[in-house]
Amino acid sequence: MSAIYFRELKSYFTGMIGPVVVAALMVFIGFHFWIYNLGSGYPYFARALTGVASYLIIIVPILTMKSMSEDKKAKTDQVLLTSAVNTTQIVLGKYFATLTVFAIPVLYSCIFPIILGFKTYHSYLIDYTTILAFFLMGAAYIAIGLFISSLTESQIIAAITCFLTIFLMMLIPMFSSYISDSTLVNAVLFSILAFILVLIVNSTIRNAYASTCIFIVSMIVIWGLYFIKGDVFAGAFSKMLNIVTFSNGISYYAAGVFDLKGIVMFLSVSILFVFLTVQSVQKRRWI
Amino acid sequence: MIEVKNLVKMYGNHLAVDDISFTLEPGRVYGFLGPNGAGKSTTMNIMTGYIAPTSGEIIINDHNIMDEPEEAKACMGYLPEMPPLYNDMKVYEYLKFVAGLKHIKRSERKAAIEEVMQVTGITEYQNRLISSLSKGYKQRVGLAQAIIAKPEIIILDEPTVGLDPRQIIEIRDLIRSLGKKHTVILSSHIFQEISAVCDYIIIIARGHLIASDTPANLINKYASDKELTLKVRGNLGDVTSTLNRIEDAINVRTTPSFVENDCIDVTLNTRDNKDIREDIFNAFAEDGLPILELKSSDPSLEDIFLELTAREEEEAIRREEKEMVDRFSSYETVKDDEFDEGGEA
Repeated sequence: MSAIYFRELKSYFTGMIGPVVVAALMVFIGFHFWIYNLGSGYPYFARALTGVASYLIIIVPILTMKSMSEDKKAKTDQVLLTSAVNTTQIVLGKYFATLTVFAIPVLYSCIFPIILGFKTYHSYLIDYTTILAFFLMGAAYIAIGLFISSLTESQIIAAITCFLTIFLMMLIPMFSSYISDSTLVNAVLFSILAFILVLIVNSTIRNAYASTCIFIVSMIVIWGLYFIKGDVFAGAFSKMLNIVTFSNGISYYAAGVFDLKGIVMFLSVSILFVFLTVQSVQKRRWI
Repeated sequence: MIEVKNLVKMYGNHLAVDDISFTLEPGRVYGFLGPNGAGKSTTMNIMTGYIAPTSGEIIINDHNIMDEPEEAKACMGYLPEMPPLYNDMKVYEYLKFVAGLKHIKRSERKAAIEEVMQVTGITEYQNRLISSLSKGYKQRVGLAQAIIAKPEIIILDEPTVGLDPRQIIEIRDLIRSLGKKHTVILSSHIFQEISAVCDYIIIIARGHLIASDTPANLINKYASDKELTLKVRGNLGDVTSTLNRIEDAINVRTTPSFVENDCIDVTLNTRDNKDIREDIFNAFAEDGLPILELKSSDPSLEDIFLELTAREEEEAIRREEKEMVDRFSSYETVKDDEFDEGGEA
């Protein structure tokens, strides 16, 4: 794994992507620090960092677009997959390399709370937990980007798809407040979601019988729950959407609330998508 | 030792490898021979664990590649059809990366890289970017990558593609020397390459294994009768009567020569592939007919290869035609039925 990690890390900096991404994020962070903290006098660096989070929509696709796709296109995955390393090690090596590049500007941002500390009374705890949350949110987006990159041979398609996915994740919470809180509507929405998920599962396992069974079981669970304890569905769909799309992002941390749920969500999404990337690489061997 | 059992690979509906089985013993050079698209690369990709078979088993030194992939892969070095090189790396850097990937001990890496660069003749290119190398040198770096960890089994997919004739000879010598210590498997669609270096030949066409044996056995098994051609000065009657006295000459064909006057061209086969050149000489000498030319043509391995693959090709075409006819006729019956029903209504 270390061989792959160091190769990937080096390749970021022999090309343009590494320096450009690191420099851009540093500039964004500095710019927001200047506007919010120095210009408007906010006492917390965390406030500035919440603004930087939205730049991840451009940064993450650029960082991850070639992670898996380039190997597939140049057939360099042949040397990786025929050596005595397993797929998980390959994917983790690449993932950690990308995380390391992302960690450089994040580490740089650790200076700013100290600078503020000279001048004003302020809580280092809030600032540093926000920086941690910012890093973990980035890690989750990077895992999603890595997975998307493993689905295609084209860097451009990977970048655009990753951009659109993060864009959608940022957009959905704006509309989720318009979804009715009625339990029936929510139960129907969950049923539709279950149906879509079953369709996706069926497209990979191609077993109509198993898929039908999964669908029937999920329907029994949803509608059983609806009739026994219907009030759990009140507003549940928009709540779920908000959680899976990180709608609160790092704003809770910046407001001084340590949102454990958020951290758990970032970590689970990272692990889930790294796992899915491994599966996607494995699956390719079978086609 | 490598055991391949009932290997099948389907790409969608296309059958790329159809039930191939063979066993490869250590310390030999094996040649995979087959026309383009025969399934050589697919078989090699499956053997090295790059892609998974649809069914069948690969056992490398008692490790099944599906169940214990890491143990099995550790015994092999693989040069795929396209050398798997990172264009943004320098040669030395790339080999260092591969050495790490193949779990060569940190203390031994430098020596291993130096040695392999020496063997493949890329030492002076070690600080060049791989993207700036020519095709032949990329191929050498690919080869270096495959042999760096000194694996027991070395698998090379068309190793001499893109090399100039001098480099081809060098690489062949290298393969031959590797074959003394390692099991080497190389594929090619070029016949001379295989016959130059391999102890054992496996011929594949259209996903089928059609022959596997040593070159000598292949000749014995598939070669047609020996053929002799000679040119004799004399008239047709005399030549024919002399030829009739030679017992082991069969299938004799005589034609007056177009090129030289009063000469007869003779082509004949010999019974049980006996060498009867001396008999012929003596017989014609007795009758005072001078032999101007006498040539014995050995059927070459190449002829066998061409014939076997052509045969397989014909069979495949026949199979496809039959399939198409079957499908067409069943389609016809359905149509007729529908038409009848429509007519009655």
